[in-house]
Amino acid sequence: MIRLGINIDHVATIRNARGEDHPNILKAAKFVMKNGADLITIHLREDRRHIKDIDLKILSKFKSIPINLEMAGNNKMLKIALKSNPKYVCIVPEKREELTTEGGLNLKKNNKK
Amino acid sequence: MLKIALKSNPKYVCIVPEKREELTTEGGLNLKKNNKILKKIVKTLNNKKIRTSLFINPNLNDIKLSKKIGAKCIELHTGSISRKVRSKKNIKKDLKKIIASCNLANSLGLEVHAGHGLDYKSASILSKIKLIKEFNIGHFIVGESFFLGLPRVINKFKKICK
Repeated sequence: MIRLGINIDHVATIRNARGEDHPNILKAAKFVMKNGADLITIHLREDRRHIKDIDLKILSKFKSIPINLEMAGNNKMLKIALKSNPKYVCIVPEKREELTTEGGLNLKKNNKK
Repeated sequence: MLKIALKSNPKYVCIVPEKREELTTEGGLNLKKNNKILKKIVKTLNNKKIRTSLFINPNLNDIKLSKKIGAKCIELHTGSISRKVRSKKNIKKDLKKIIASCNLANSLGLEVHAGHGLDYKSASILSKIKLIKEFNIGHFIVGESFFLGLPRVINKFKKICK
């Protein structure tokens, strides 16, 4: 059986359109888990265009929600990841220079980091 | 935008503020400041048989101004009362303003609509005011559809509107 991770970034996109708290991210994560997801994926982007730091903080408190944190490969994000302690991390490119032509991480260029 | 409206010829138009200077403190149109241009727009669209409403705050002065501008409908900005309903604050004052606005608008022959920030609870409260003929609800319905799906959410609002 393949594990199904569901990305709820765009629940935050909708929420942010009004800057209030509907739809609520924690409710969304619980709802998605209840309906059969195996993990929740969120991407805390450098520009915080959807998921915010506070979302990660709140979601991380619920150990029953396995979080897969997508993040850029840099020291700032490393600190945040260590603090929030998600179950999984996926390092992704965010800026043009981190990309290879096809879209994955440029491992050669960012080897040291 | 007037040009675009005339070209696309929609069934309804609601004129809303977009820039800070078009806003009054609570969020509706600043009718005083934009009086001239609004008159022109409303007149032009009325002539084209496009039902045109003005998105205004629920206060008596703006209702009177809307009538003077020539609008056939007004849409009351419900952001303030909706926010209070959500945070369980006292809504007496807001409700009174909205009811008074509805009454005045009705006596002047203006059709009343309501919108902004509405959810199940605030829409239910306002649905008791029979002079409100239309709700416009977007953000909450789209957000809530994430949990229930669009058909169920629409159904719930249709029940509230009954």
